[in-house]
Amino acid sequence: MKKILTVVIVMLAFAASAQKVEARFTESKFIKASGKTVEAEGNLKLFSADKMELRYTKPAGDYFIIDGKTMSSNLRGKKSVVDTEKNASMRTYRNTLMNCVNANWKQAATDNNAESSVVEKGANKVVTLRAKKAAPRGYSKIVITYRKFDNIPVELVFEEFNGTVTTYKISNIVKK
Amino acid sequence: MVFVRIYRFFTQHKFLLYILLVLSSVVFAFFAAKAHFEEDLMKLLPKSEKSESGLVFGNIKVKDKLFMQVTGAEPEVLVGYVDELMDSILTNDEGIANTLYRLEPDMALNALDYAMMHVPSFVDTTLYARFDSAIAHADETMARNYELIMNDETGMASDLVSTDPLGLRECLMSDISGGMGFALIDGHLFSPDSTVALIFISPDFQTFDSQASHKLVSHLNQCIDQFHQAHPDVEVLMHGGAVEAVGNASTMKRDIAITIGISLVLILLYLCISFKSYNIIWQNVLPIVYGTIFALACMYWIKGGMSLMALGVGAVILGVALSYCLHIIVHQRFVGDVEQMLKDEAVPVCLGCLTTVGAFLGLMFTESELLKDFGLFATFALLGSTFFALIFLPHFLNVKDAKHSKKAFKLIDKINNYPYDRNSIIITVLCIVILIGFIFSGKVQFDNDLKHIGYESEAFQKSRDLYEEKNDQGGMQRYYAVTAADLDEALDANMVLATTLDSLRGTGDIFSYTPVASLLFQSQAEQERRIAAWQHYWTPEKVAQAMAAVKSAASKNGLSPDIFVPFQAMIEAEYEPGNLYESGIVPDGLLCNFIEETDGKFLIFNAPKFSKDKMKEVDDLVAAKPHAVVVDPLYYTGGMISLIHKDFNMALVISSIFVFLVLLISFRDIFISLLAFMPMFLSWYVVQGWMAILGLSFNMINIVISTFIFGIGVDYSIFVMKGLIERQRQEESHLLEYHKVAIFFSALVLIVVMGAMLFAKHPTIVSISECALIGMISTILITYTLQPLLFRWLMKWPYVKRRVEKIK
Repeated sequence: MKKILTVVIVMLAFAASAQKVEARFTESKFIKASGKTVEAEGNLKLFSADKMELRYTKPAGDYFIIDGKTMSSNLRGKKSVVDTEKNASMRTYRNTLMNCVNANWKQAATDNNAESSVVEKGANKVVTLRAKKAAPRGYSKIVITYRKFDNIPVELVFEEFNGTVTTYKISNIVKK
Repeated sequence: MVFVRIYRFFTQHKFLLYILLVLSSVVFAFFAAKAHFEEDLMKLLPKSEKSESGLVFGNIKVKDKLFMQVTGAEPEVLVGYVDELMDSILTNDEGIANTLYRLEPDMALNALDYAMMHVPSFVDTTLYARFDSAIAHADETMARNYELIMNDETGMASDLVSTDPLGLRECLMSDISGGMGFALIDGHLFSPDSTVALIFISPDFQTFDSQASHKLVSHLNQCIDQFHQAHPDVEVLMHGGAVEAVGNASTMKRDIAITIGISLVLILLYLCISFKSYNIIWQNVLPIVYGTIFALACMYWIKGGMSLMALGVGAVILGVALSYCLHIIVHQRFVGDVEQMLKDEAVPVCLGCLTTVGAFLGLMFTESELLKDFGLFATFALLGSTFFALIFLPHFLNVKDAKHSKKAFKLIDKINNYPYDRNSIIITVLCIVILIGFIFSGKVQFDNDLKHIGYESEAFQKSRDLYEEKNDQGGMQRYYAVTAADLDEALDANMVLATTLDSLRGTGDIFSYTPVASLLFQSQAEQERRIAAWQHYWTPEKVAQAMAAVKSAASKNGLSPDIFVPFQAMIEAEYEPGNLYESGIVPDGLLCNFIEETDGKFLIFNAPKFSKDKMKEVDDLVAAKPHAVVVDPLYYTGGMISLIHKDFNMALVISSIFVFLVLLISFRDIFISLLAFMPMFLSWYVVQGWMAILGLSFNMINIVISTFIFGIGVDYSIFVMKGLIERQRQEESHLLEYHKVAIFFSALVLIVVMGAMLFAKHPTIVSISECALIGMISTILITYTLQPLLFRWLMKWPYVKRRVEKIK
C-alpha cells in the first residue's frame, strides 16, 4: 500500500511539475557599480521542471532558454550555448533559477549556501534566501514571491554580492 | 651434371613436374598473400636511445595533424565558408579524431569558470611581484575600470571589475595572450593577419596507414572540389602528413606504371621481334613471378611479413633474375639443345646466383630491419627465380626453336663483337673514368634527411609555405615534448623544458614561444605549492592593504567602494587543486596541441618558433634534457640512417669477401678470381666518384641499389669470364658470343627501364635510376673492355695459361 501511494505521489508531482505555464515578464537590472538600471520585458514559458524559456520583446530577439543541462542565450546579439555539466557556476545559476521558479527553494538555499525564511503576505508567500558567507560568485540574497494556491512565482529578486539587483515581475500567468 | 639429370628425370615424369610446379606455386602464393607489409619506416630503422624509452613516433598524433587553409575573401565571409566546408567534411567523419577550426562560445565561459575556481593554480610565484605592483597602481586601474563600467549595458563588465578590480587577470593573461598564435573572428581561427581561415584535422590513424590516409584524403579532396565548384573565387589549401603520404604513394605508383611499365612493354616487344616469338615474354616473366611469390612466402614464414619499402626496392633486384632467364633462353635459342644449354649455363647461372645472394646476405649483418628485409627478400627471390629457370623453364623451351631476327642480331653482333679491348681510346677513356672515380669516391655525400626522398606536389608546397609565411613569422614552428608514464611527472618535467625554451627566447635563439602547456596545466603537487604560496601571500594584512587600496581608488574615481565583495571573497577563498586535462573544458582539437596520451605515456607539447638555421642547435639542446624529445622522428632517424650507412659499408666488405671466396673456390685461380671480381670492385668506385662529381648523393634507398650493381656486375663478369676461358680452351667455342648476347639483352632491359625512370617525378625513383645507371654502364664497359684485355695479358703468362686451360 505504501509503495502504491509513493508511486501515485511521484506521478502527481511529475504531472504538476510538467505543467506548462505561460506568462509575461518584466526584467529590471540595477547595476550598483554604474548606478544604471537596464529594463527588459518579454514572454516566459515554463514547459517542465527542467525546461524554461524567456523570449524578450524588449530588446527584441534576445532570449534565454534552459533546456535540460543546456543554457542558451542571446543577449544584445551575443549568443552562447553553455553545457552546465562543464561549468560549475552556470550549473548553480541554472539550478537556482529552475528551483526558484519551481518553488523548490530549499534546494536553491542549499546550492547557494544560504539560509531560507518564508513569510506569508495575503494571497502570496515570500521566500527569502540569504547567503551565509560572501563568495566570488552567486547571490547574496534571493527573494521570491509565490502565489500561495499554486506556488507559481510572481516576483523574483536576485541580489548579487557586488550589489547588482535583478528583479523579474511575472504577470498574465496562464496554465496550460 | 645434376641439372641435366633432373631435366632427364622430369622429362620422363612430366606429370610429377606439373604437380610440383602447380602445388609449389599455390602454396607460395597462398602464404605470400598472407604476408604483412610494414609501412612505418620508423619501425625499420635501428633502435635509438629515445625509441628505447618506449615512445613510438608513429603513434604520436600531433605530427599527423592536417592543415587546411581557406583564403580569398573577407574574414566575415570566410567564417561562413569554413562552416560550410566543415559541415560537408563532417558528414562523413570516418578517420577523423577531432577538428579545430572554431572555438565554441561556451568554451570561454567554461574556462573562466574553471579559472575562477582554481585561481591560485594559474599563479606562478614570480607573478606576486606583479600583484604588488598592481596594488600600488590601483588608482590607474580603477580609472580604466570606471570607463568599463560606465559603458557597460549588460552588467558583465561590472561583474568583472567587482571580482578583479586590480586587473590581476592581466598579469596572468600577459603570458598566455598570443600564445595560441591565432586570431579569432566570430569564434573562428584565423592567421594573425586575419586573411587565412585555419582548419586543423587530427586523423584517428597513423600517417603510415596508407589505406586510411588514402580514404580520408580522398574524402577531403572531394569536399574541397565540391566547395570550389560552389565558390570558385575562394582557395582551399591542404597539407600535412597524410596528404604527403598519399601524394607520395600515388606519385610513386603513377611514375612506376608510366616509366617501368611502358619501357618494359617496349623492351619485351623488342625481344619478341628479335626472337620472332611471343613466348619470350612469359619465359622471362614466369620465373620472376615464381621467385617473387617464393620470396614473399619465405618472408611470411620467417617473420610474418616485410617492409613495403624493401619490397619496392627489391623489385629492382628482379632485374638480376631476369638476366639469368635471358641467359638460359638465349643460349637455348642458339644451341637448340636443352641438355647442352644446361651443361653450358647451369654452372655460371648458379655461380652468379650464389655470389649475388652472397652480396645480399651481407646485409643480414646490419642492424637495420629495412636492410635485413631487403637482403632476405632479394636472396629468396633470386633463389626462387633461378630454381624455376633451371628446373621448370627448360621443359617449356621449344627444343627446335632457334628463330631470330637476322637484322636485330646483326646489330647485336656488331655491338658485341666490337673489339673494345683493343681500342686504345676506349681503354684510355675508361681508365681515366675509373681513376677519377677513385679520386672522388670519398667525396660522395650521404643524405640523412628522409624528407629529401619524399615527393611534395606544388599544391602541397604552396599550402605549407602559406602556413609558414602567415603563422610562423617567416621561421618555422617545431614541436618539442616531454614524456612520462604519469601525467603529473610529465607536467613537472615540462616546467623544466619550458624554462629552457624560455631562456632560449631570452637569448634570441627562439623568436616566439609561449609556454601555454605549462601555464595552463600543472601537476597536483605544483598546484598545492601554488595554493600554499597564494595563502602565504594573501595574509589578512595583505588583504586589508589590497581592499583599502581598491576602496580608496574606487572612491577617488566615483565608484561605490561596496561593490568589491566578490574580490575579497575570491582572495580569501579556500582552493583545491583541479584537473583541467580531464575537465572536458578544453576541446579535444585544442587539447591535443598541448597534451597527448599515447602508448601508456603522456606527452606535453611545446611549440616555439625560430629561424630554420637554429633548428639543429635547439633540437640538440632539447634532446639532451631528461624526458624531452624532439617530436620529429627524422631528427632521430638522421643518426640512425648514418648508422645504416656505416652498417652498409660493413655489409659491402663482408659481401665482397664472400663473393671473392666463391669465385676463388669456383675458378681455383687467384688471377682469374681477381679478374672476375674486378668489374664489381671498380664499378663501385666509379659509382661513388661520379655521383660526387655530378652532385648526386646517396640516400637510404638508392644506397641499397649498390647491392644490385654488385650483383649484376659480378654476374656479367662471371659469364664473360666463362666465355673467355672456354675460348682459350677451344678457339671455335661460341660460348662468349652467346653470353654476350644474353648480357646485351639483360643490359638493354635494365638500362632502358632505369633510363625511363629518370623521367619520373618522384625523387626516390630518380635517385635509384641515377645510381643504377652509372653502375650498370660502368660495369658493362669494364666487363667488355678491361676484363678481356687483362685476360689476354694474363694468357701471355704460360703459368696462368696452363692453369686456365685446366679450369672446368
